[in-house]
Amino acid sequence: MTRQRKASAQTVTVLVELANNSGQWLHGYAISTATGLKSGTLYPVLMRLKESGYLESRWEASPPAGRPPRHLYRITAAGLRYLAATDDDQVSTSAATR
Amino acid sequence: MTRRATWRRRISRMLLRCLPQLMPADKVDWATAMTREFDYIADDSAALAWTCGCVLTATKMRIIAMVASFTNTPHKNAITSVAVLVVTALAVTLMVVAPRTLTPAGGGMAEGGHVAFWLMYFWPVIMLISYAATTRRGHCLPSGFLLLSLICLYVMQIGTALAVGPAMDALFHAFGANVQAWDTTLKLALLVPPLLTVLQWLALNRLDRTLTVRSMRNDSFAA
Repeated sequence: MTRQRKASAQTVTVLVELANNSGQWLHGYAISTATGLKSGTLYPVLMRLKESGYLESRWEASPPAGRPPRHLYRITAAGLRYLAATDDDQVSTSAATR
Repeated sequence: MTRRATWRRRISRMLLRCLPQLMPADKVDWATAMTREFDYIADDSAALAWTCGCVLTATKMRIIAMVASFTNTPHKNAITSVAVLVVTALAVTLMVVAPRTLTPAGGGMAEGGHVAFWLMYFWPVIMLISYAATTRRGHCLPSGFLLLSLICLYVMQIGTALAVGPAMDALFHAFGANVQAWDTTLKLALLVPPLLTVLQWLALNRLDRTLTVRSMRNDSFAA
């Protein structure tokens, strides 16, 4: 029997941030500044969430002139369900640490 | 912009250029995503901090991928692969050392030395053909074809080294007779095998990575 691994505080923080902007596409640096997570912590979390299907990503369709298109992220329905199933304590802790 | 800030940005750009090479082939898109964000960060210190985090992430992913490739490879294959690489390096060292020991005191090259000497030139060509022939289907290290070809190659090379006749005797004689020659030869014998093993390992990984990326591109075009 496989047991679901408990989400780390950083993972919950990212999920909460994405859930707060549910329906909106956010880029990596915006998530980083909003959550206070450094890129070295943020990207492994984003990669894991993407692989688990808790977030979806796409390239920016119309980037500012002279700038390259960025990778955008949005929480999925599965991600919202996963966050809802996460302990309230964890969510409140992650919110308090921000 | 200050000179200090410019340096930070230059260092960051230099590091970011390494990112796609560092990241495992299946996560190259993530390297691009991290690099693109850099162009939107106005503050140079923040940009450098961002870059360091990205390099850290890529290194972590590379290590995870390497560990996974080892654990996914049957132990027997993995051990044999490493053993073959080490034997390869040792055999080449022998071939490098043999002509030196066969050189008579008066100069020139003794009989048998020529064979080993010329075969050394063929070694990289044979190695490349071997890699190309055995790895075209993708991942190379677990490939039985690769192991077979390397074993054949080095049975041939060790056979050649033995076939140079008095090579072994000359080798020990040279070691005992001439301390200076012993020092140089020992250095070669100690340094060359690990160096060759690492180089072969890197070449295999590089080829594996190139083939994987190409295969992924072909798949995406087909889709």
